[in-house]
Amino acid sequence: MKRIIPSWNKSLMGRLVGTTLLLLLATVGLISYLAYLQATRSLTQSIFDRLRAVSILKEDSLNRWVDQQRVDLVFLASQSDVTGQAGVLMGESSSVKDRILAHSILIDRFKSMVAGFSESDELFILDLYGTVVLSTEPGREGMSHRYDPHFILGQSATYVQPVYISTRTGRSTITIATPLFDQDKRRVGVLAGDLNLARLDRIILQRTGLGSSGETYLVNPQHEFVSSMLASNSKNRNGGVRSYGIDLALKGQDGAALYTNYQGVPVIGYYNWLDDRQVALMAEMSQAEAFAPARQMAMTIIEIGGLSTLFLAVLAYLLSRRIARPILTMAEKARLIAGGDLDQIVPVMTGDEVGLLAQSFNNMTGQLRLLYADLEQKVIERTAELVRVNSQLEEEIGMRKQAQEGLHRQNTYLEALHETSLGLISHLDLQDLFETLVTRAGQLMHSSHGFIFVAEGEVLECKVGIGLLNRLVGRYLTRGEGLGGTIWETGRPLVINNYDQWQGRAQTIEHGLIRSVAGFPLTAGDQVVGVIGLAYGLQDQGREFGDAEVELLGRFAQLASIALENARLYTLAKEARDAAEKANEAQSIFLANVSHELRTPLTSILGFARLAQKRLQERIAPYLPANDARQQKAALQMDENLAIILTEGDRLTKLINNLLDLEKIRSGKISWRRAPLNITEVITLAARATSSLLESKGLTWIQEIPPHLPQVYGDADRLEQVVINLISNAVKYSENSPLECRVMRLDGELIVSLTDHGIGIAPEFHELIFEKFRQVGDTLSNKPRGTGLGLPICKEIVEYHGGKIWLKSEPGKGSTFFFSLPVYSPALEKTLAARDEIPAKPESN
Amino acid sequence: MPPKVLIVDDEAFIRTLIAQTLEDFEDDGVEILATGDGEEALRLIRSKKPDLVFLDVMLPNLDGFAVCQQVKENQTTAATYVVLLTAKGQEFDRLRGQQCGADQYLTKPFDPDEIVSLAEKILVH
Repeated sequence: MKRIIPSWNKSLMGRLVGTTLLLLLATVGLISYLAYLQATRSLTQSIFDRLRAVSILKEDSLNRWVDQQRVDLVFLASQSDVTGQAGVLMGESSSVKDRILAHSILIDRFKSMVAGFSESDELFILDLYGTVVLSTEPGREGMSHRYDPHFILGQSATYVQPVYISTRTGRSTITIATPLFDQDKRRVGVLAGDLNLARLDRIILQRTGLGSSGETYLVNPQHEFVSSMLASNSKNRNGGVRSYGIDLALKGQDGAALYTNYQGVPVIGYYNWLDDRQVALMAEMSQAEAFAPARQMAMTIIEIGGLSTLFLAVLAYLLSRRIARPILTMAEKARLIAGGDLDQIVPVMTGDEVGLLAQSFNNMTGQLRLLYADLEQKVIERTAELVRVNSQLEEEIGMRKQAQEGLHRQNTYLEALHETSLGLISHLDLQDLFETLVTRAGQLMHSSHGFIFVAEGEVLECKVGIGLLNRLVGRYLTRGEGLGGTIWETGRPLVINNYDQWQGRAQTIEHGLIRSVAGFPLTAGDQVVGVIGLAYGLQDQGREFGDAEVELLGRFAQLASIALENARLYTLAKEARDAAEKANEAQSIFLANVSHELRTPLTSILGFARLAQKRLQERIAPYLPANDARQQKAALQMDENLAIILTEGDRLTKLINNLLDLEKIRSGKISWRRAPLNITEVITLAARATSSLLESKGLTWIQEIPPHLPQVYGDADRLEQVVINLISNAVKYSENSPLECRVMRLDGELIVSLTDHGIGIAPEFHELIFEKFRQVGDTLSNKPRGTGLGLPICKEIVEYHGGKIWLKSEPGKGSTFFFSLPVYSPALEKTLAARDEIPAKPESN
Repeated sequence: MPPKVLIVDDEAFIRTLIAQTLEDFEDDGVEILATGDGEEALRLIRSKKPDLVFLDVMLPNLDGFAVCQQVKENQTTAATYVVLLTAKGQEFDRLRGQQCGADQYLTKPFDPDEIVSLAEKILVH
């Protein structure tokens, strides 16, 4: 059982006893609270009554006291000696001496009164103007009470001025005043007395009969204590003496309430406004004291309740222990079983439900024990299997690691080879490439010395030498001389691992520098064209060349061989290209010159022919005798012949112009304008330019172009030339028929078509026709006209614009020429611009 | 003072061709001058002050562009109407012709009728 106690809170018994305790405590608490509430309520009422009684009593005492003082003062004023002396003192006819005498007599009389039974602080006489002519307090005489209520009202009758703050003393004061007469009943002034407030304190503050915390006090409308004992207390308070009760009383209300008094103490208070005295009379008792009996009762209830609860808790504990014990035992056993101890048995102590539970528990444990034994066996088996698999895995990992290491080595080779291959492609400078090759091979084999020899006729020349071998550069070896010469001769790799002692060494390198050298032949076909080699110096920690190094060097040798071959081929190609370029250039210059040279005579021929024709027509033919048929015929023939010269001369001019154009386009010397353009405008302009040509052959121009076509991109003048050339071509082979031009939009292209109804073109010429100097007319008809260059120029121009040109034709019925142009887009603009990156050369004169 | 025309071309046949073309003007009192040399042309333009000059581009000593430029730069000769003649009809030459201030541009081979209409335009007001 001891092991269960730490878990007491959570245990079954804990909960049973705890719940009982909680319920009991709650009940006791509730009862005591209700009893306290009930008692407080009845107490409050009785205390209210008590406070009211006290308050009334105090008020009464106060009134009686003030009344007594009033009676005393009136009595004093009526005494014959007082009236006599007052008459002298105030009399207008009295001598100064008499007055002084009367004054001293009255002072003595009053002082003895004040010192004796009177409860006034001060007795004084005011004259008819309110001035103090006599006072028991020295220094007061001569002061004016002219505006004080006790002077104004005291002249006609006895008057008690309620509590007020004296302007002279600064204290709360009650003043009683009564008219003063002389012996002849003439009014000579006012006799007045300020009441002694210490006496007032005795009446109000003391003997309240309200227990130790009970308090009665007066508060004036300025929120100040009237009592001299408490006055200093109120002066220190900001805003004066305040509380809920005081505020109500000063508003003229009477009543009782629970509130917090001026000191912040919760009190039961009775507040009362004394209208006669113009003060609030407060009677209060602290709630703590007032409700002490109620609290006392509640405490008693709690004490008794607590004791009974404790008793009941012990009882509950004992009872629950009896019920819980077997269950707790079972829980402990279950904990042990869960911990792995399956041999635990729960004692079956009772025959009730708990006993049944214990029985079932034992059965379950038995089952568990069986299952567990089986499980253990399985775990052992699994573990063994895992161990086996693990060792297999480890073996495999070992193998992979080895493979990876091999791969890594291979990768290093490949990387170097790859870099070198890239070098082969990018380095066209053979010298650079050789140096790179030797350096890379050296890096891979940890050698910083190497060389390359290249065969130059009958000798090997050293092209590259690095490290210790740099002094070899520019040196020559003959066939069979030294390591290089030997390899050149034999065509086999050679490794010398003790170079200094080697018999075959050439005298190119001093002794004492090189330990070992490996060389490999560079080949072109089956010819040895050079040698590549690496060396280790004597300082290189005894390194020598093995099979792996030689194999690797062999690969570099292959690369160097390819580089040599590449360089040779490149040189050849460059020479060929240069030659071709030169030939092209020559052709261009030739064409330019020829065209110029041809044009000058052509100008003369055409000019003079035209002039001759004009002269003939204007100045000769009209004057020939009309009857001379021979002369007339000769003139007509001359005219016709001149016309032929002019036509053919024109053709020759066009041929030259076209030839120049084509040459310029082909050689890229033409400068193209590039802009988005409207194909309809181009076609309209071309048709206008050729209108007289069309008319001359009786051709009707029909234009069918849809509106709102997208723009194309290129050189409007050149495209106009295409349309003009196509029209000219159609004009040549057709007459007296319509010539139809159409534009279609297809995907991203515009397709322009031109249909004639001429002789047509046989299918075998459909492609040839776009080549230079091909004219279908040559074979189909006997009237070839034109230069034969119009269509090839069209083809060049259209293709430059990214389009195509083709035709459909049926001989005898007519032909349709088509060309397509891509629709304008910024992408197209970029493509065409990129193609023209190479700027056109300026035309040479 | 009668109007003057200057023909500048190193080819004698061309000079003859243009001169013959302008025969009718000569009959009407127009003075026809001709030379085949660039410098000589410049001298003639400065001394004779022709109204119209047919100026070939390819000339010995001073080419047509240079002659034209100097004529146009000089205040006393700038008013001369200069027609450039050339075998080339390409944009490049046309541009140079404009730069040197030529008034008109004819491509060889030209039509004699063009010469006549130009002369009419400049000489006959």
